Amino acid sequence: MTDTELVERARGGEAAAFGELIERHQIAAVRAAMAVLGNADEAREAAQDAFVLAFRRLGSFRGEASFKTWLLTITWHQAINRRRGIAQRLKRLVGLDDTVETRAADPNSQEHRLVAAEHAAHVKRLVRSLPRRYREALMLAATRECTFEEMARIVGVASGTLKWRVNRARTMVRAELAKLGYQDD
Amino acid sequence: MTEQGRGVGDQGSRTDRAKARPEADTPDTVLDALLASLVTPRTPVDLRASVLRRIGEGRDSRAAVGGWLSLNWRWAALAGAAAVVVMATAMVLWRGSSPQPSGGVARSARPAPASLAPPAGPAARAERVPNEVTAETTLARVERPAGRTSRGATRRPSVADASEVDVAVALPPLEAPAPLLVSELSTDGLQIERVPVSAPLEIAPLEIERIDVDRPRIPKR
Repeated sequence: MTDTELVERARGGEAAAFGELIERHQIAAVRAAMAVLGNADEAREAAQDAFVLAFRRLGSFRGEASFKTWLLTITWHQAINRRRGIAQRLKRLVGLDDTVETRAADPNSQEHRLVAAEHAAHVKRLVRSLPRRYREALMLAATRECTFEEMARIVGVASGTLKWRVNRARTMVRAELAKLGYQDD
Repeated sequence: MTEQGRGVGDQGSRTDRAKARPEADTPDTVLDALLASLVTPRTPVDLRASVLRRIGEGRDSRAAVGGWLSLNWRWAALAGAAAVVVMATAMVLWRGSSPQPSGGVARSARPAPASLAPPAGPAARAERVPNEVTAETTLARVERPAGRTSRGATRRPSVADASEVDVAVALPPLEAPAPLLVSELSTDGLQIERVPVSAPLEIAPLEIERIDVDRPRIPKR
């Protein structure tokens, strides 16, 4: 069953249909929120708010974009609103998140894991130091949930602009990593 | 992007991910994997139950409010109508009990000098009206309480037989040594204009009361 069919059923009051939509897109929603918030718990809350809001606004969904893009747009704005909260700002002062993982490193080598963890920490720091528009674009692209066109619609900029921001952010991070002695690939 | 970079919460299909990859033209790198890890929750994501519960609570609360309103709208309508009736009655009673303004000329008027006094006799009266009405005649003839209508608005003098007359108003001695002509007072921002009246009786005392005695322009004689 397609998303559109599920939306129609959900509009008719079928909660199970909307539940299926949640199942399908919850990961994408949480990732999109994490791109803004950088914190998994906050991202879950934002995604949850977004789903509730999306349900209430199902009547305004006209199918111009896919349901997923429409949902992620709502999620994106929910996350931005949440980030504006004072509590969130305080949390960000204390520490951003605990989501950096070291699974990209070779698990067979303790030394390798340490190096990878350090590498990850550098990446996280560099990403956080990026200007917000670059950081958000790079993180949204990192979710790999959408095409550039869809991401541009979510963020509300032109596709070319978003693509340029992503590439620019990536170049900046790579340049800084190179200064630290990290060679990509 | 490597599969290593994806979290345990990743429940999307491989086909969907491949279709949605925005950077399919760029090779996966360690950087990509690390970036992906920044937007990947470490624990499984299951929002379904919580979202549906919240949606259900919202429906319940809306239904409760709607039910309460449907039960009580008749009572609310009755209460509103009763409030309107009570307020209207109170307004009527208040209007009836409030004192009507009395003729203001009597307080500030003084007899007009002989030069402005009405001539005696019927012929003279015919000449006088509608040429000039002195304070004396105003005092003598305008006995009605105030120029107020039943709605409370100030009633303007009648213009039934609109021949303009100069209304002579007697002011307190300290303010003006002689009666002033309203037509002359009214040209300089004062409240009373040269009003067309059909007869002296139509001049409302309330109108005369409005003369601003702070800035009278005393006509030179």
